[in-house]
Amino acid sequence: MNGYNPYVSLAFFAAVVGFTVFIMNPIFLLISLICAVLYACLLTPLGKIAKYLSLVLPLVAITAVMNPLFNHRGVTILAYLPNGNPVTLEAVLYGIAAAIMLAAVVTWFLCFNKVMTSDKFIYVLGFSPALALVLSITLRMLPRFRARLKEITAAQAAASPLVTSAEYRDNSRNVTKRSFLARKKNSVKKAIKILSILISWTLEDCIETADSMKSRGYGLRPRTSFSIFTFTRRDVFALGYIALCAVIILVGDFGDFPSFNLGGGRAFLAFAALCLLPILSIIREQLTWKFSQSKI
Amino acid sequence: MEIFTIENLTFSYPNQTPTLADISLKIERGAFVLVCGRTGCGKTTLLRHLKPALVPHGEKRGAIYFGGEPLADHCEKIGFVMQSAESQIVTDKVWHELAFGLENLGLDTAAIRLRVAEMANYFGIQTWFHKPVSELSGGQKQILALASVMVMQPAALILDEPASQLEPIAAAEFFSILARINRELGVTVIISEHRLEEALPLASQVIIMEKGRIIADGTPQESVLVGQSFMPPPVQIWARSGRRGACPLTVREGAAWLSTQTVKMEEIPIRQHTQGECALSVTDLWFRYEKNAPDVIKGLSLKGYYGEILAIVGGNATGKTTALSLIAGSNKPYRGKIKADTQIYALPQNPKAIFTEKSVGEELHATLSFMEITGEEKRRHLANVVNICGLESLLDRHPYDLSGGEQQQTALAKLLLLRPRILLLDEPTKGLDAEYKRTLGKILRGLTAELSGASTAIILVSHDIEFCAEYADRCALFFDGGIVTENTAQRFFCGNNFYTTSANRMARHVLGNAVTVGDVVWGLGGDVGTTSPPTSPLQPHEPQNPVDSSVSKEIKHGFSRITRILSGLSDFRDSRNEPIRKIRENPLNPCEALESLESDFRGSRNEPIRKIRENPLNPREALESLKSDFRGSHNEPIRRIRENPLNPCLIFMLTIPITISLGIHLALHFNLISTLIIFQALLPFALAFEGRKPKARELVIVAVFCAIAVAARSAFFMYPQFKPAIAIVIIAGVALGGEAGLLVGAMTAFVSNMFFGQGPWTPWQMLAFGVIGLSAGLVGRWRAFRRSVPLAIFGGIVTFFIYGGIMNFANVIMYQPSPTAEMFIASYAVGLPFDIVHSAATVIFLIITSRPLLDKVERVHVKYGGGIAPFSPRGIAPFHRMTVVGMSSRSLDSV
Repeated sequence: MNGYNPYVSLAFFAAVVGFTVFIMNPIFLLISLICAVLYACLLTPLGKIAKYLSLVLPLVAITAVMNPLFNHRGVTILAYLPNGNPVTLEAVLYGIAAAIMLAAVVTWFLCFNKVMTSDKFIYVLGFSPALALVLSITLRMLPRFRARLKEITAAQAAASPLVTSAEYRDNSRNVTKRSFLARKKNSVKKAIKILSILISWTLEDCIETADSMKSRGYGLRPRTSFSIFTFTRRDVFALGYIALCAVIILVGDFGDFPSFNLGGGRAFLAFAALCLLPILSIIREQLTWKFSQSKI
Repeated sequence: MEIFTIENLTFSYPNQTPTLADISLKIERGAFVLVCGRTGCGKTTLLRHLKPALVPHGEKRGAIYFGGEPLADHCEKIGFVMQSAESQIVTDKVWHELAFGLENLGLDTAAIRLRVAEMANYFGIQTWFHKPVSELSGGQKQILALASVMVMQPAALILDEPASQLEPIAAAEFFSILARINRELGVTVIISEHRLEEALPLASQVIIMEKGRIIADGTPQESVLVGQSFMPPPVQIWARSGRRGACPLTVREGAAWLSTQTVKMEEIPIRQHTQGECALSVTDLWFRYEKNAPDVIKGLSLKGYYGEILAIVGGNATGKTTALSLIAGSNKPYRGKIKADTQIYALPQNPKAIFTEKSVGEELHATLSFMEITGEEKRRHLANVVNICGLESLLDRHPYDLSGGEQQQTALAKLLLLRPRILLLDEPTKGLDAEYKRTLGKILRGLTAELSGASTAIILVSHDIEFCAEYADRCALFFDGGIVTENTAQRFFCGNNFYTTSANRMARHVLGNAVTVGDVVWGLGGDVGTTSPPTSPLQPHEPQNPVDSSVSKEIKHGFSRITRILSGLSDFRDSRNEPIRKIRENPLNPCEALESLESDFRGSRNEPIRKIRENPLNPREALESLKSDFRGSHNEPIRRIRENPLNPCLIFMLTIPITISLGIHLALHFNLISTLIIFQALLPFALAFEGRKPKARELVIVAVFCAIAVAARSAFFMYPQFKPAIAIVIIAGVALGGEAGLLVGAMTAFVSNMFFGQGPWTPWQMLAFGVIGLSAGLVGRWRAFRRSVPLAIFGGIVTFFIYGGIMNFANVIMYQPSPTAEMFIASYAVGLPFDIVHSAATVIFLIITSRPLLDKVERVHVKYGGGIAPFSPRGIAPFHRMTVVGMSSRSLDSV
């Protein structure tokens, strides 16, 4: 969804995640999970996905286990818990479904984070220019603060007795003498001091930023929100595609259990088509690219 | 035809002697005007008067005409570029910054696109058009600041020391662009600058100011006759060797002029230099920032000697600063050895990085308290350092109120208290005017010359060749990660053809071995103050104190009281600027006065205050004039970030049941329903914020708190839940009010998840943080909660109950499609230890930081005439008392 207008990307993710959560249907969940994983693989290097999985899988496992432990509805009793409550097959299956749903949603969000970069959020917030501006200023200040935090830390290390003299001696002579707690206390104290310097520094020069805004006419007239994103024909088509799929899914006839009648089948197809949209668009782009290159 | 006409402009900051005195001035359309003078001479104040949006508060007489008309708010027609590129850039992307001004004018996208494209082309910005601002170099940032002002197509461009933070090559590029704008577009340029080498040859009119008056106004040739002490070397040489012939302004003119002069000798004798004991030896250092990054330092070796200043010079980005950080120990080399006799101290490039206290005196005491010496010794030591650094008159001032040079002297004093034997300085002359450079040079010289066997080894890194030639004993050229050549300063600069001083370039064809202005003047037989070649390179200049300290101190006290009261008053006014008609006041104590005002206000919340009965501190006129200034439209009206939590709450209450019933009716998932509810709750606040058109300062301060909270959230990873983000949101809520608190909270959660990863948890966190910010704003109305302990207790409670309550609930809702009561209990049980750590962290952070931080917000609020702190009356009272007590208690005698 990278090349599309941010509103289109947002609509896509909202639709996909919404349907995944909204329609707790095993086939929907599987389609959603598979497409999400495929798309994530196309967007991010495998190493990163592995790292991400290591964080997410425990959560998924907990979700799967939680349901049969706390949910005792169902008719097929498999075993009894020590407190006498039954573990039912239905609850186990439901737990697994919930876990798949969670995995799918989290993976979609992995893609979402990759696609929705900060400038796209600012564009999406364009309906409220003031909020968009606050977001933009915040994002402007963050790297500046990070650099400044480093600068202050280094300056403290080389110019302040609180950090150096004490630490210098400690490091060289009696590191072992100081308890774990004392060291932690010192490090918290140090961190708070650095944070406090950062805040005074920042507060003083944010006035200059405000002056710079005023001197460039901020507040004189109602503001507009400029952006380098455009709404092209391609975006219109994509939006139409998403809407069409959504309508087919919504009118599709399916119950709590998958029934392979015509309405349900159409809904599954439509959902698969929806989830595959970004993957198809990437594949198409790559094919075109290859094709046009081989011509030259 | 004149573009600017100033007639008898007199301006004084409230209750101070005039900063501008009877200024009359004509500036021609298309002129390039250079305004120069020492720090504190009123340059900045004069320039700000030419830009209506930036005129400072104070009493103003006289008239300013722009294009024949009295100066109104010609926003687009006058552009203003400030000193610090860093802080004047508002947005995060280059393209957005270029469009910012045009967005403010309300232009549509197509028009903005065209103008931005034009500008990017003109300034050559295309290649970095899409970059985030944080990746630009200092020079690029300043060019961007210039371009984003030029995009509004101004007829006049005002620049306040735009190149003072730039390294020489970037500065030269900046000036060449400026010359092009002036020449090709006919834009009038009015610029103040310390670095005159580049600016002077471009100028068509030079104005020299001193103590708020214009002492010279004319062509460069006419003006340089006054105040040569800060002029470029050719002018200085000409002036000090008897002013024969026409004054040369550039090195080229200077060389031609020198050819016509009779030189007394062929070459200057080489000064001898005796080396002291070795203090520091660095051998074969190698360093890179990341494992796979290229080496930055490649086999660096150097030695520092006691009693000697070693200057490391060299181009930008060659690794000089990195080398210094290795020696200082903040980075570790992966190969090589650093052997030092004693502890190494480094003066940071920006002195603000080590300021923590409320006054210079307290700064010094804070450092001194770490010294293990007796009281009597401390006292003598402190007096000595204060004397060396010339801080006597500054001890009561707030560090942030000092000029750049004074700040650096304070930072240096802090360091000298630790009795450093090895001292590192990074770009010590950056942004300093000629006078402060001399003061600094003298201090450093004094340190190395100490006879009692305690002389210091100084290593400094600088772009400032003239300074190094003047004050360093040895110079080393740094290039490509190592030192290429090293020699005594005089031999070093004589041997170079390009990388050398202007005096050397100007005089080399007639006078060998001359590197400083003094050398050339001596060679010409002029007066250098000493009879021999300047072995002691000190120039006969007295260090200056820009303001008479005792008077100014008194004035400041009075002034700050008035401002405090006024900013208090202004808060009672609502944003529609209803006139204050009544102020009843206790004539003895401003604090009590404020309190009585408060109770007055409480009595009739929305009624205008009707009468000013008395002003106990100063003549009534002062108060009146101040008041009218505050009311005037020049400045951003002071207003609290108003909150009316009722209306958004109403919408919230109305829509939520609808959502819930609809959700149940359609059998929607809990998660979906609750997410919708959260957005329904937050959206009204967002729209209310948008609707009341927040002022620039409100926006920036909200963004600052968000950014601090996010930075703090990612910077503290000592323990999983030990994060100060909630503490900062609470402080924002208390300081800025509930609406801003909610905004800071929600925005913090949202932005930090841009880095940690958005997910279904984002809306929940936004809700939790937002509600905490809102509640902090509500309790912040009571003065009791502005003290650290009650606030900390409050913080602990809300962290535990609101954050823990919401997030543990959310954990079940998010991940369980059919939640049961047991699941919630389990979730709360599992979350309990985390919540306890989290709320403990909030309590600790709030106890330690809340009071100082609230004071800081208020200080900025008072100093800059308001606009950021909504509840100042209640906050100012304790703040005020503290300052009054603190003012006298900390001085030299109190050790």
